[in-house]
Amino acid sequence: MHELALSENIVRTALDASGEKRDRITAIGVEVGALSAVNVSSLEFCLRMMLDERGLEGAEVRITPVPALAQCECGSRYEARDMFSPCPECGGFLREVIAGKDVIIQYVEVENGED
Amino acid sequence: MAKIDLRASAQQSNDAVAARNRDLFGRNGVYVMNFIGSPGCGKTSILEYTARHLDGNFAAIIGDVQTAFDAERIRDCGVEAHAIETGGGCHLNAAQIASTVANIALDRLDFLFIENVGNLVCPSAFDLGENIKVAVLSVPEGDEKVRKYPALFVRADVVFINKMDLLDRCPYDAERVKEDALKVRPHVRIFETSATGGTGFEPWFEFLRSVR
Ligand SMILES: Nc1nc2c(ncn2[C@@H]2O[C@H](COP(=O)(O)OP(=O)(O)OP(=O)(O)O)[C@@H](O)[C@H]2O)c(=O)[nH]1
Ligand SMILES: [Mg+2]
Ligand SMILES: [Zn+2]
Repeated sequence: MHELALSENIVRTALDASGEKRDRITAIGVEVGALSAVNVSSLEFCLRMMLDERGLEGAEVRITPVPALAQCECGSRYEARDMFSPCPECGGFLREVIAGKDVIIQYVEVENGED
Repeated sequence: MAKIDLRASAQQSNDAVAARNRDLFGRNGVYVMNFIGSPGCGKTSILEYTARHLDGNFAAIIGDVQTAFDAERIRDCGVEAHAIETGGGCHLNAAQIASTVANIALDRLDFLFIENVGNLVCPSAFDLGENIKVAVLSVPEGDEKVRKYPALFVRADVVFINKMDLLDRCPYDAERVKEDALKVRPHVRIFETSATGGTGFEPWFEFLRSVR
């Protein structure tokens, strides 16, 4: 439900970063962590809508879902596709989630042209 | 095509305000808790019981989509309470907290309780600058909530299982809930309470005294 608020932030960040080329954005790359509490298809929908509103119909939305990364007390680091499965090395649950909690704006792509 | 690398959090504007809130709370020595749970799980009831039975200086900020009823309930316990009506918003954000705490004398407080909007999903994604997130579950909701909403439980340092008085009337495996909560958050503190019956609060009070 808060995908709209996130989309506003993402689009604002992309526009700011593109500076004078803000009208020529061709793609936005976003990573969505499995534990970010964000629904990928609603985020996609909201981003699409906001880009269209700004006349950026041609800009592509590229969302990459990323699994959670866990750091186990035994030292192993692994992709936790499911928080209810134990560490593949030691079978334990004493671990910390070190990535996959956030939504990250990876990049914005703009047309080159010097005109 | 030119690619501009950003690697920025989509939450950066909220996170920046949350960091300022956290700094302000730290300087004033107030311990801040962000209570998150489904509508009706007993968040306000837990705050009421705590306000009435634990010594200390409290204030509360209560978020609801509409009405200030819950803030009034807290005031009836003799505790300063501020309502934030989100008008449809599904979560509180750091800016709402910043403008509300501007009206609170933080330096005289031990604890600030924030009751988030009743929702198990969105509030977990917005840092308010709190010390800890407190997830509130209740027996009639069913015992699969940790499985269904892991995003909240990886972030919560305290979990309440409230309405324990209803255990004999609802099929609910409290042991399973505790196991699940410990799987996603190995050091989580779990308190099993009945806010209306006033049972199970002593370990919670003990915890609050220890962090004060
Ligand atoms: N049986 C039982 N009822 C409870 C308990 N705690 C709260 N309730 C009842 O559950 C209802 C909701 O409690 P609240 O404290 O208002 O819940 P809340 O989480 O603040 O609700 P919202 O703010 O609307 O999301 C009320 O009727 C309470 O009296 C409990 O431990 N046992
Ligand atoms: Mg309430
Ligand atoms: Zn391990």
